[in-house]
Amino acid sequence: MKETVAVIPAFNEEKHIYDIVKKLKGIGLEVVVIDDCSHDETASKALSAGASVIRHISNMGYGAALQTGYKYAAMNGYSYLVQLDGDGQHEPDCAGSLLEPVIAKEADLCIGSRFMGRGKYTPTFLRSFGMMFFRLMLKALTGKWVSDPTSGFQAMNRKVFSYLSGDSFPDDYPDADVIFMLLKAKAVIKEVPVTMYYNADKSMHAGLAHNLYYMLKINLLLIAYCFKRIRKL
Amino acid sequence: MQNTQFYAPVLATLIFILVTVWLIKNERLKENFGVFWITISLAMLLVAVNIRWLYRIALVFETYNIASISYSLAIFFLFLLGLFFSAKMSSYEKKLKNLTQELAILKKQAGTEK
Repeated sequence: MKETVAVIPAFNEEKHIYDIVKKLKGIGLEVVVIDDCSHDETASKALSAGASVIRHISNMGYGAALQTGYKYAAMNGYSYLVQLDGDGQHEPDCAGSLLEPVIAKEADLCIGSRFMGRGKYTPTFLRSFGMMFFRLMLKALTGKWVSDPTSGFQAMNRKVFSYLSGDSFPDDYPDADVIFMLLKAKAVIKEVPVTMYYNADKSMHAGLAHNLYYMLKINLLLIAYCFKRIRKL
Repeated sequence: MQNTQFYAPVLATLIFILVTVWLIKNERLKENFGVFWITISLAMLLVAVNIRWLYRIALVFETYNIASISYSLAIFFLFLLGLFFSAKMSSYEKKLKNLTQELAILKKQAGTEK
């Protein structure tokens, strides 16, 4: 069985993708970039940095691209997976510390938290409000306090990424709803501090309408999951 | 009831059924949707033939006006239809996503992409 793969969903990320792949290769990880039908040089830059590239024939969204990575890892017998964004928000050097608890079997999923003391990350007011809201929702619904429920910087074992390859995984913004689903599925979740940079240009949740849609969607999913029979991990 | 009040809706419904059958025959409407529309057409025909039912329904809702009750039922039906098609679209979207993902992975494994 192969060991670890780094999955990077990317859409028009030619500015950052080369450096990210190089850094990940530097720490000995196999890297797969899921090019979500970019119009720029994302795929060729990722290839030249040494990554494998899987290309969607049409733009399917962040969640779908991420899930393609899960499916690829599951089909190719990888044991562990680390996921990070292609926009330079996540520091690739932290991938190792994220993987540690998963490889040591202390957790099924390890979330990189930007609020545990490493680096300086100051989100906008709206984003802070959203994060606090989801923290409280998760605490109320599952009893678990997750300091960074919207972090996309995560490491997981085979059980988790095989589980997330199913149909319940959301296509657009997989965030607190997925953490909730995994907690309900009895996954062991741990957080470790990571460095994150705020990239206002590329943030998925930029704009009031987007934020409102996002909040409503996640809440709707959280309510739906409360009544759904969730399969155990 | 005047003749036109009876024949107009019956004629409209028959045209609707004929168009549905024609669309299925020419493979421009899938038969599973065809069954749905034929059922709707037959229901409309039934109401058109027994227009008194509408008066009774109007009385139940205390509207005393069959135009109002017809519009209300039509709007309710259209909302249901919208919901039904949203569910259908969601299901197709899921299938499309799975196909795109499988295709991308298989292309990678077949070596057509590096």
